[in-house]
Amino acid sequence: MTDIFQLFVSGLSTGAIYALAAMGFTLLWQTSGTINFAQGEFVMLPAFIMLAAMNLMGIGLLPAFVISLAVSMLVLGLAFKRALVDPMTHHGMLPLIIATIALGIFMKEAVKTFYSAEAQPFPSLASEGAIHIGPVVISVSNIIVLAIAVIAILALQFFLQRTFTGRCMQAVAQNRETARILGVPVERMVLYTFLINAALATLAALLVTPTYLAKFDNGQSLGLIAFIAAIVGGFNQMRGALAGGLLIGLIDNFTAVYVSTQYRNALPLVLLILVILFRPQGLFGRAEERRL
Amino acid sequence: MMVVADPIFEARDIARSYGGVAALKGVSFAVAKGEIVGLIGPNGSGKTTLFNCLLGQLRADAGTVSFRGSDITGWRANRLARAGLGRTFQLLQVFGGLTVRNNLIAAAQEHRGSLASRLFAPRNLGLDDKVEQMLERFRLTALGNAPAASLSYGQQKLLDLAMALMADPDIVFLDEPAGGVTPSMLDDIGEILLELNRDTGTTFAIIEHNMDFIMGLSHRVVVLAEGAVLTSGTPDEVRRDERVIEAYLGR
Amino acid sequence: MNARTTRALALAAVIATAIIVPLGLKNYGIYLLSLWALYAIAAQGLNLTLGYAGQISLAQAAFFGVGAYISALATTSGVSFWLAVPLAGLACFSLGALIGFPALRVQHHYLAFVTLAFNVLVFLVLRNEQWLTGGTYGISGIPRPSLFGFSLGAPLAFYYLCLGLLCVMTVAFWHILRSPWGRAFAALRDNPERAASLGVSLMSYTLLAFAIGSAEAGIAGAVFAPLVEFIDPTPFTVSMSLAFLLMVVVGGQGTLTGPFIGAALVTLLPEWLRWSEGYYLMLYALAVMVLMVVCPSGLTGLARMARRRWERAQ
Repeated sequence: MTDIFQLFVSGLSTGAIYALAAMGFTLLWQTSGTINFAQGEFVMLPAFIMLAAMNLMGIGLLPAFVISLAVSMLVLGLAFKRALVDPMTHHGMLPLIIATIALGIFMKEAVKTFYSAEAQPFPSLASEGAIHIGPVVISVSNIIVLAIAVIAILALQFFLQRTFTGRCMQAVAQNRETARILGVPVERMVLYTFLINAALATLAALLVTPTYLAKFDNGQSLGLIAFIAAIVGGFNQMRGALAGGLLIGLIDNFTAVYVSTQYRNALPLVLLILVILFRPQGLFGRAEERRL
Repeated sequence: MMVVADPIFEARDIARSYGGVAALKGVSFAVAKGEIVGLIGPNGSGKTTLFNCLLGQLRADAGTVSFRGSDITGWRANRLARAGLGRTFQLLQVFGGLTVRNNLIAAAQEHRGSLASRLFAPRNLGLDDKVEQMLERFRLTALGNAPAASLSYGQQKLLDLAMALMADPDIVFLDEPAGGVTPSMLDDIGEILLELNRDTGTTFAIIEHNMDFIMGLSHRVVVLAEGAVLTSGTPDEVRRDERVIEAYLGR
Repeated sequence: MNARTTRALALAAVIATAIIVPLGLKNYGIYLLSLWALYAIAAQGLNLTLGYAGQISLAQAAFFGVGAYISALATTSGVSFWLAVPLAGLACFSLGALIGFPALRVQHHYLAFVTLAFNVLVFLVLRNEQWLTGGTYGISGIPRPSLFGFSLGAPLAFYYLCLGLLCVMTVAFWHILRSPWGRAFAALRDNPERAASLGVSLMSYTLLAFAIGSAEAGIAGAVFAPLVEFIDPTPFTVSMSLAFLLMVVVGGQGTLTGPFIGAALVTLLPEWLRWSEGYYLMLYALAVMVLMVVCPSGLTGLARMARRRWERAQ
């Protein structure tokens, strides 16, 4: 019983990180119709920026995080939008999909070439300790990761639902044209979502890299999981991305113990296919009107 | 409310809501063979929604539809087309990437033979004569090989209409055929519809806002307001009905 | 000289080039050309699904792989190559239709993910089911075929086999496009709602588009196996599916020549960039990004723009 509880906690912890990546992904899609196939690499790169900052400038993890945050928001937020997304706005989805795929490859190869092809250790936020509550043992890092992720998610939700800017962003996500007619500065809102996505990805990098080490090809599996989480949860709702992330995190942890490792990665995929076939709006999403 | 004897097409109690708002509240609507029925009503009364529910673009929440005595409720659009129901859309829809001739052939080719046979059938499936006929009737002969996207709005409108008629449907549903068309072209369209109705007995159900056009064309008019049938009758009866005038003005 | 004669002459020139060029190349060059021909076939299939029927698929590598494995397993068990290839095509046709079902339920972006997931699943099966596929050890010693007692094992002979297959598949593809099916696909791509209202069965044609596209990949894969003589699951990943997608879009989707150009670019560009050593993938990715920004409709779009400007200048 205690095992299950521990798995549950670590599952939520992993899931919360997935949720961060999935939520940023969903936000981008909702407000600008951008499907970012490089989302995984968006999480991989900040980890290396932090490592570079720490090694080159001799600073600690948290200052490095701040620097990485700024760089990410500039490059993966602003530059990404202006240089890649904006020019392709009226040409349908496909060119952008290809461009983001190429971007992912570019980022991956750049890190491999200019930094290292080897996995790099990454400092953890918390000590290696564990808390004992009766018979249950919970690792401190799990709790800290979960706490930070939850705070970030709550902050995001608060921002989206309680602030004026956040509600403008939601308006743009619901219906761009109506928002524009109502006087919402649509382009600026879209820019904000790109910046937020970059920030969420950086935070996810901070939380996930200590466990998995920093490696140039981390992006592939992470990206896929972010997509699956977003879709399984519900692609047209932020709530869905959150739920999806947590769900996949739990599944991931439980299957690691109870299911043969060979097909462990297959479970989220099968879930994805089943959800798309039988409930395309996701488990928690709104049904999109599909004409016969 | 006029009861139609021996209707070729009949819809009963069609209801459809969008997230709590009822767009259609139990609409019943029948058309006799060879009739031209006009469907009018203020904006937002549910006319296009009704067509979409009847013709497979939307699924109605309730109600039944029958055609030539058989139940066709819930049938998909392509099945309805092959059964003899044609339609045009409010938003002009032709196949921009195909030539005018190919648009017309595409409009009728699915009615010829089976899917498999069509892979090896002659390219135009013997529809050439029919295509030329249509081009002539709609005065598009000179544009036969032009890409549909290069046609003017009015010409595309004619093409759209021609496409709906290519497969010789028994009943055609037109959604605002007069929208955005020049007066002279409007006369042409009216003429063509009357001709077809007279010569081949094609039944028409037409949504329209242009009162002169629809009143001059229809045998009978049905008025829709706020998702329900307000009244129906001959064009003169409807024009004089106070409730109809109110529905259009009173808001 | 009218457009038709120009086109016919251009076609003849291209075919002649394809036949003559390899005579002056070393084995590696001939291998690359054979690879190009096979990739072009798979890209052509994807072009039908994507460019003509408007359905996105990121699973083309899975069918390429399935075709390769069927061919490898068959020929290493003594089944004739000439039977194995159509078998692979048929199997992938059926499997491809299966992929079409999600396409009926969901829109483009979801479809990209479903097909992506399918690709990963197929890869996992190929890697894990060692009793069938040899797992990570793969299948080796895949024999090259012979025709009427004439061995096609030599690089040049095998290349002509690939080229011949490419010509056959292109003719078949062209026939499909010109037939009523081609018209229905175009209608489906241009305006699916209107097409349905005119009797076009969206279901049948969507499934067909996937089935045919996948079958072409399967056939190409079936010939890929004896080309490389050893296969393992490694290449048949999402990256390869993305490469096929790239070929179609970069070459110009919905055009006849697009896949050929795209396949040439994707096959040959890495080779040309080899001088840059580690950087070639980065340069390649950068080139793709720049191309997409500058000309989203691909290289044939670029060519069309150039031609239009030249015509206007006349």
